[in-house]
Amino acid sequence: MKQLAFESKNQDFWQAFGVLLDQLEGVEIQDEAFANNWSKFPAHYRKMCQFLSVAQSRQYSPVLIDFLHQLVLRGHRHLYRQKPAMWSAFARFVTQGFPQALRREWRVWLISSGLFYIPAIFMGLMCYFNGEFLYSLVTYEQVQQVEYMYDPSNVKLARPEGRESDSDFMMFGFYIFNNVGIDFKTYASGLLFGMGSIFFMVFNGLFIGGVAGHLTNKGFIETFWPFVAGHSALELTAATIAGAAGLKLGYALINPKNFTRALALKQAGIDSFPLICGAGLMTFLAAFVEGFWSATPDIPHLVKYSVGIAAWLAVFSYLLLAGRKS
Amino acid sequence: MLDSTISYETPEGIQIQLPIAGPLVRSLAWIIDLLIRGVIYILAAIALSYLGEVGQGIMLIGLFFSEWLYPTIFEAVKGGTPGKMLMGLYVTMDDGTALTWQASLTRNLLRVVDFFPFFYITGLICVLCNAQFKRLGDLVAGSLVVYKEEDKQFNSVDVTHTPRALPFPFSAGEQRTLLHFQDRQQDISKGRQVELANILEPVINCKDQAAVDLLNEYAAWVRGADK
Repeated sequence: MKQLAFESKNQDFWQAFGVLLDQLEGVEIQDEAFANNWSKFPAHYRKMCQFLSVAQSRQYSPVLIDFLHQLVLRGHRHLYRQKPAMWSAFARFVTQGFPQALRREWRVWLISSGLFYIPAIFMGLMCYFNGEFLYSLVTYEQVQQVEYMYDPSNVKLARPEGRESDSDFMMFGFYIFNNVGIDFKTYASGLLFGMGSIFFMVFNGLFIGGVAGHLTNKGFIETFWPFVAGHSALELTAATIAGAAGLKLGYALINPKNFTRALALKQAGIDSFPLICGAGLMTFLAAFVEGFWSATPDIPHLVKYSVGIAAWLAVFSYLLLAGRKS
Repeated sequence: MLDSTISYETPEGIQIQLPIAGPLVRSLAWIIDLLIRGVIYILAAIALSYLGEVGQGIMLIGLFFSEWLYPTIFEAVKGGTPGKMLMGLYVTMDDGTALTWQASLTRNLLRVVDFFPFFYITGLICVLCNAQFKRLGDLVAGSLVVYKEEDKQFNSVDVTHTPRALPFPFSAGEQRTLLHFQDRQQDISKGRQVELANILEPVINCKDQAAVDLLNEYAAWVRGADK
């Protein structure tokens, strides 16, 4: 068949397919004809593929082939589009997917927890027994700032009436921006052969442990520990999970096993995705707790400690037990 | 074709071509996005400054979402950020299907390591070492940044020339070149048409406008026009 005959025979079909695509893409209004036609879309798409391959093998003019190719490409994007049910997928992720994925990757999680807690405990003990040791890690100004924040004689903690919620909300915003951001950076920098994640884990471990030890040494127990008790379970655990996700990426680069590095990275991206999403969500929750619960004065310390212990138990039983078969 | 395209074979057994976008056009798109966000930040900062500490809190939450989720949401829903759309680009999976939410989030969370240590140095090195112009985030997410195909309209050319049979068999590729020559005549000048037709002078034994007309007659015959 010559090209002109081919065109005049099938042109109406191509035009109709183009209109259908416009309607699917939302460029044109979906009218009554659309209601009748859209269920035939897969069949029409396959017919378009056939037109394209016929046009190619018969060496019709490039202008015609380009036109058909463009229709096919647009159709391809629509036919193979993934349209997940967002809310049910999210609920399934929270109740099952995330804890299951974390237990699947328990090795990297263990390693990243070690990278965080071992330096934290070491630095904590050092700073507890030696009031000057924190200065080996952070500058004088930073230590001053931290001491100022938790000094029991500081009026700011016993906030005057009326400005509480405003200030809480600002800090809530800061916790989201800063803490969730750190999780994401810990994850992404794992791509630098794991170095970035290791750095963030060890440094944050040293810093957090050091501050805790230093403030305890100073005797600021009453202000520091009740404040951190509530959100520590969510936030610290989330940090180790973000680190685990980053280590997963770095390890795929260092040891891709039987795959090419590109393929191993892609797989590591799929495996680590639930971890970083879960870590982000946990830190997001921790920001709520930190902003609106931890900072609230006038709650007996016993209550704050009890809530803290309950939170640790709840987080770990969620991560270790949720989504198991029986 | 000299264009840098990736071809992918679909389940239907045909090859689709994806024209991949290079680092320059992508950085221009990024700059446009940066400007858009910059303007929004300034306006938001002015508006929220009236709200005091609550305003600062809202600003920080807004900063968080726009830094991490602005590209994610645009790319997953629209296929590209405003900057990319203005530059005629969109993001797709490397099999040509629409970008998934997971891939979109992955490639944008990893943006920070492509940025490392400053101005996308790591990403640029990765893009240049990579046949598909993928930055690290694209490698992990399995995504591609490609040019949006123009919305091509197709109209059969009005063949005004009397078809004339080819004097001897042309190969399929040569016939296709003839067709392409005819299709493109609206787009190229008379002088260039003559110049192209004159290349064939040793074969068709005429030149200038006569050669152009003769080639059109052959093309009409190849196309299958009626007398």
